[in-house]
Amino acid sequence: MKWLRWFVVALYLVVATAPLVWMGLSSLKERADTISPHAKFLPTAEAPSDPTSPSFEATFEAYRELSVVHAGAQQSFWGHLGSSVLIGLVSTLASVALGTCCAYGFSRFRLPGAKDWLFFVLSTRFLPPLAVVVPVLIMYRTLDLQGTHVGLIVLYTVFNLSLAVWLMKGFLDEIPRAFEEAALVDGYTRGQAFVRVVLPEARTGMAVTAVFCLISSWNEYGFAMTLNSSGAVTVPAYFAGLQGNIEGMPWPQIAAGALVFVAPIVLFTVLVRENLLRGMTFGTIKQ
Amino acid sequence: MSALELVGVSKSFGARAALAEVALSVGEREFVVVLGPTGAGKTTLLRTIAGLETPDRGEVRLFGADCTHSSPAARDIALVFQNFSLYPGKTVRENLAFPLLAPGRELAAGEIGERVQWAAKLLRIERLLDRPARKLSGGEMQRVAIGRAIVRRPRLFLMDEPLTNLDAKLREELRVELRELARRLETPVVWVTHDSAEALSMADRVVALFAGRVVQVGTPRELYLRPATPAVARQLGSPPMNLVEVLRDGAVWRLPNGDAFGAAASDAPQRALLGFRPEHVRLEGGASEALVEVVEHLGPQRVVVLRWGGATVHAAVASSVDVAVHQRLRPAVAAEHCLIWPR
Repeated sequence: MKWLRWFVVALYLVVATAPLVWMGLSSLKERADTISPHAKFLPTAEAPSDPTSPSFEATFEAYRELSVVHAGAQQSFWGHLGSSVLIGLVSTLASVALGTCCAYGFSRFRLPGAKDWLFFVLSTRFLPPLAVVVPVLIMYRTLDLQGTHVGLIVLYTVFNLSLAVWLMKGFLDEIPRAFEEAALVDGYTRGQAFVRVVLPEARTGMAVTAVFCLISSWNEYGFAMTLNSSGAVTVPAYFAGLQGNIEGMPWPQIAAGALVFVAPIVLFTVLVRENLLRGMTFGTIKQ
Repeated sequence: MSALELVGVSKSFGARAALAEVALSVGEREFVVVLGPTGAGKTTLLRTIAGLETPDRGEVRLFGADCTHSSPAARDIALVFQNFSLYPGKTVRENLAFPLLAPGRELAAGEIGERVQWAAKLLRIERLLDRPARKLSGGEMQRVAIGRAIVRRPRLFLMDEPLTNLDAKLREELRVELRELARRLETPVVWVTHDSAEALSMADRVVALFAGRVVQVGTPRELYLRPATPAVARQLGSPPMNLVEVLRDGAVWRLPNGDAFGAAASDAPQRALLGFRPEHVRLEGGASEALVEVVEHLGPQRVVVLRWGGATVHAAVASSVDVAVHQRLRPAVAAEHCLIWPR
């Protein structure tokens, strides 16, 4: 049965990585090769003489051209990546910070109606986000937040907050109260005990929560497309906006950009994967 | 002046009363043990003294000053928790230094180092100082936890069942050590436990707490010999005091099945619960017969479980006394050793 297990895993590996591999190959092609009617999947140093051959001439041109400003766009890929980084990082920090403070309150104090409040926090996720696109669009137009960094930061923070509160509550519940109480008796105030005792213990949880928030705001497409079609355009919206470009879709650059775009998330996720697993099963493991 | 005084302290959680009108005073160098079964409100009592809970009614006075509503930090009390509560990521040294680094204490680095060394030496944990707290054994953790308490030389120690999670041998060792330590530090201690051996061996005074109420206060000897209620009698001593239902028939106490137990005074109640210590049961000279069910050898003494007149009675006798299972005896208890609770 061992070979069957390997077979299934190998099969899944192929299915899961095929799009990434194809993207990698496309990023090394000339545009003509990406839209060739003949499948091109063997990178070679020299251009093949036969146009129907499966090999193509590999080039890093597409990566160099990431700094080109395409027709219809206002910035190069790097400019949009900058917007994505700024919006992603700030909204993640804000979600984790607010979520941790809020979860601490739910975790440690007897609040009247705490369960109802927690349910309310969760209920903000019940509607599919796109259902509220139009009201948000009108609101943002009135507030002049369309196309701004602040607009998307606020939006993503709010969307991720409920997840952050629930995740962090799970993590904080696992930290024994006695830790802070010992600090209180030792002469620290509640705030100092939170910063000096609880936060260091909650680091793992905060890292896990940050990954989830970052992934969701990093990849968000619907609102980015609707609210920020110009101005602070994030990478997903930028790629989509290249459609109908008079030069034709710059596929090699899109492939190259997409690879650069997913790299940090993949890297980060691999780095904290053990903690992520713990985060997914939080609440099931009691100390 | 007493170090600690509680006046009519009550505390409820929802409908459940954890403490009811608790009054307590602890002298300036006194070692007070609060003894009670699980759920009696012992931990709530300590938390109220420490300031982690605010009483619904009543007053907490420390060295004459009303502290009922002051913050835990302002009270300058140390609390040792049952579950150790060391910071797992920090080393022993950092754990010990943590209370000294609290804002408002402003000690020089040298002074902090000295105090940590002093506490480590006193508790014999010097060789553990650079070890991470999560790599300690239970006994070591508890020493460090106590070290954290003594390092800042507080005005009062509160100990919440500090030995409960340790094994029996270690418990006995630490019991002696900690009693000695408290004497040397000349600091009052409120020690909470359900273990009668701790209460009997350590306390200057024992406070018996049942269902949130103080039932009896006295020296260990007073509580042992003259427990105020059957519950206190059952909590103290191992094996605990025998409690037997009896009826008075003229000048004789009769056991549940009618067998004679011993002489009763003429003014005694008709129905009563008799309490007598196992060591006061003699195995001969009694008025009726009993069957030996179990004989336990406990080194210096032997515990004999008797079936006597429909009741189960424990007798503690010297191990030199010959007694065998299924043997029939005529046990007796002198009238002056019997406590009588009317029914």
